Amino acid sequence: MSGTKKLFSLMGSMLYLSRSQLKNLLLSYVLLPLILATFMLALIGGLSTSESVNIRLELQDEDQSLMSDVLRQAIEQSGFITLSSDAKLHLKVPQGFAERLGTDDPIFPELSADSRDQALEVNLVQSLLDQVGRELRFAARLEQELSKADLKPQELLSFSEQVNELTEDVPELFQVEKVDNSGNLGLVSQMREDIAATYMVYIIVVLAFSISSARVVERESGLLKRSASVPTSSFQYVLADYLTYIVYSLLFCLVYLIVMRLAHGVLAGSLLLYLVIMGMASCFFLGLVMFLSVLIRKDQVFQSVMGLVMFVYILMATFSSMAKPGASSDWMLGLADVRPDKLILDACRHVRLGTLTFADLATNLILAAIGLALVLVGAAIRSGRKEKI
Amino acid sequence: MAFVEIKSLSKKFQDKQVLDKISFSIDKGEFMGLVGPNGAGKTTLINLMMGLLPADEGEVLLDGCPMAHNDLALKQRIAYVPQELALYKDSSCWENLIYFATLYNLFGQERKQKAEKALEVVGLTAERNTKVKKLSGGMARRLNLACAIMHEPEFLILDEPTVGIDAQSRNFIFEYLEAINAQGVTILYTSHYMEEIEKLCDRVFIIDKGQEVACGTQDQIRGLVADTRKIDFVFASPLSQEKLASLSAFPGVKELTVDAEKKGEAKSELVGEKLAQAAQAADAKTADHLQVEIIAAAFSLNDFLQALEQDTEILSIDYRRVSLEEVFLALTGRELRA
Repeated sequence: MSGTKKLFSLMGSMLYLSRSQLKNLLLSYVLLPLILATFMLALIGGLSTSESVNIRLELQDEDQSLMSDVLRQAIEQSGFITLSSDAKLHLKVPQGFAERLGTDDPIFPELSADSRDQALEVNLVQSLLDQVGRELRFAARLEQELSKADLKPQELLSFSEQVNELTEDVPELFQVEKVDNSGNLGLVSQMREDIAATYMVYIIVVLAFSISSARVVERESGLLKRSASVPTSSFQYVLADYLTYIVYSLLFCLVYLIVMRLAHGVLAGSLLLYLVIMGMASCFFLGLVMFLSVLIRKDQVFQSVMGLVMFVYILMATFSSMAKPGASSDWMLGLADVRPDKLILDACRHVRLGTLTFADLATNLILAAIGLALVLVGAAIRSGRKEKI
Repeated sequence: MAFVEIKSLSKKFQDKQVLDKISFSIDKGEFMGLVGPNGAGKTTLINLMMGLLPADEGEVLLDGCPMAHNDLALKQRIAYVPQELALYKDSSCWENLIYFATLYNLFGQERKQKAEKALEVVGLTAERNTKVKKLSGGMARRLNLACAIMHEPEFLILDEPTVGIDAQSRNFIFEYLEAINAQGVTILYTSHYMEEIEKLCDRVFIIDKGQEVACGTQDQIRGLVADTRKIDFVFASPLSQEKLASLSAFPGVKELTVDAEKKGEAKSELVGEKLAQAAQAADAKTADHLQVEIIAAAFSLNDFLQALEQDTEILSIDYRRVSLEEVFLALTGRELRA
C-alpha cells in the first residue's frame, strides 16, 4: 500500500477511534464557544435595542461651513444617532474645522460625555466620526489639489477620470457607510458578526490547545512509546493526526455555524465558503501548535505555553471585536494588523457581505500553507531525532 | 545464527551508566526471560532493542539486520507490549484494535479479520464494543496484548504483561504465549514474577545495575549459586536452641532457617495443652519446622538425619532445588531498590 493510502487509512482509523467520543467531543469543543458567543451576543443585543431608539447627541457647530454641514448630515443619516439639544453626549465642531481639514494639521471635532457609563456609545459615535472624517479629509484634499492644479478645460475631463479611478480604489473607506445606508444595524451588527466569527475561530484554538493535553495523556499511558514502535513513519503519523484534527475542526465549525444562524441569525453567507476559510484557519493554528509540541519537549511547559496563548488570544480577539480602532492604541492596532485571526475574521466578514475576493482566499491560503509547512518541519525534526520517547 | 543479537550495548543518561556493554542473543523460536530488580536497566534495554532510544555503543541485530529507529520493515516483524495499558481508554476494544491494526499496515477486510481473530484469541469477543475504561484489569491487559499480535509478529517483546491481573487472566496469557511460541514466535518476556519466568522461559538473562549478572538456561543459572539445595523438615516436637546451633555447624550446611509462616500454620492446628506446649517452645526459641540450605557436595543427608533423630521425630522431609527467585536474590542481593 502506498504512503498516501496508508496516510488516509490511518486518518480514517483515527477518526474511527474517536467515533464513540463524538458526543463528548462536541460538548467539549462546541458548547463552550457557543455559550460564550451567546453570552456576548446577548450583551451586544441589548445595545442594538437601544441603538434602534438612537444615541442622542448634541451637536455644536462653531464652524458653520459646508464640511461641518456634511458631517451633520452623515450623523443624521447614520440611522442610530439622533441630534438633540438636551443629550448627554456632546460633539463640538470647532471653528476652522473645514479650513484645516485637508492640511497636515487638522482640527478634529471634540466628543464628550456627561457620564462614564456612556463609554460604548462614545466608541460607536467615534467610529462613525472616523469613517466620515476620512471621507471628508479625502474630499478636502481633492479639492485642494484641484485648486492648485491650473488645469486647462481639455485636461479637466482626464483629471476627473483619474479622481474617479482613485475613488474606486479605496472602497473600504466607505464600507461601513454602505452597510449603514442599507438600513442594517451598522456597527453593532458588525460587532455581533465579528464576535460570532471570533468564537468560531476560538473552536479551532481550543482544539489546538487540546493537542497539548493529548500529548501528555499519550506519553503517560505509554501510547507515544507504542506508536513509536510500530511500522509507521513519523510523517505518516503526524500528518494523519493533523488531518484528523482538521476534519474535527470543520465538523465543529459546521455545527457552530448552523446553531448560530438558527439561534442568533448571524454568520449569513455561503456555508461552504465559511468552511473553506475555517479549514485554512485550522491548517494554520493546528500546524503551529503541532510544531510547538515538537519544539517544546517538556509537557508541562508546552501546556503552560498553550494555556497562555489561548488566554491572550481570547482576550485580544474579544476586545478587538468590541473596541473600534478609534478607541485602541497604536501598538494595539499594529498588532491587530498582523494577527492571523484578523485575516480569517476579515474573510468571514466578506463571506457574510458577499464580497469575498480571491485575495482574501489567497491570504488565508498562505496561512494554511504556513501551517502545513510547520507540520512537515515538525515531523522532519521528530523523524530526525533518534530519541523518540 | 541467532535471530536477535544484542552486541555490547551501552547507554548513559547524563552521568549515570544505565547499561554497560550488554550482550546476549536469542535464537529463533526461543522463549527468553529478562529479569532484574527495579532500575536494573530492563526498560532501557527494551527501548534500545526497539530503536526507541539511540545506543551510545553497540548494536541490535534482528535476523542479521541492524535495528534502526526508522527501519519500518524490521518494525513490521516485531511487536511490543508495553507495561502500561497503552490503549485509548475512551474508545471501544474494537476501535482500538482497528487503529493499531492500521498502524501495523493491515487494511480493509484483512484488518477486520485479524482484529476479529485477536478478540477471539484473547477472549474478548463479548466485549467488542465495551470502552476500555470499563474493562477489568485482566481484560485490559489481554486487549493490550491483542493490539500487538494482529500482524503476526516474528518477535514479541513483552514488558511485564501480567501486572495487576487475576490468576485466570494470567494463566490465559501464559497459555496463549506458549501456543504462539510453539508456532515459532520468538519471545522476550520481562517480569518481576520469577515463577512466571520459571514456568515460561527456556533461557534467562539477569541484569542488575546495567550489567549482565547471568545468562543461560534455568539449570545453568541455578548452577551459578554453587550446588545449592534446600531441605524442609517438619518435626513432631520442637528442636532446642542448642540443637539448632549444633546443626548449623554441620558439614555442608549453608543456612538454617526456622520457617515462621509454616510454624504458625502448624500451630493453628494445635489445641489445648499442645498449643500451650507449642507456645512455650516458641518462647524458648525452638522450632518444629526447619529449612536447611545445603551445599550438596559437602553434605551428608544420612549423617544429618541421624543427628536429628537423636532429639526428635521427623514427620516429613521435602528435598528440593532452589527456586529461580532464590537464585535471583542470591545473585542480585537482598537490599531494597529504588
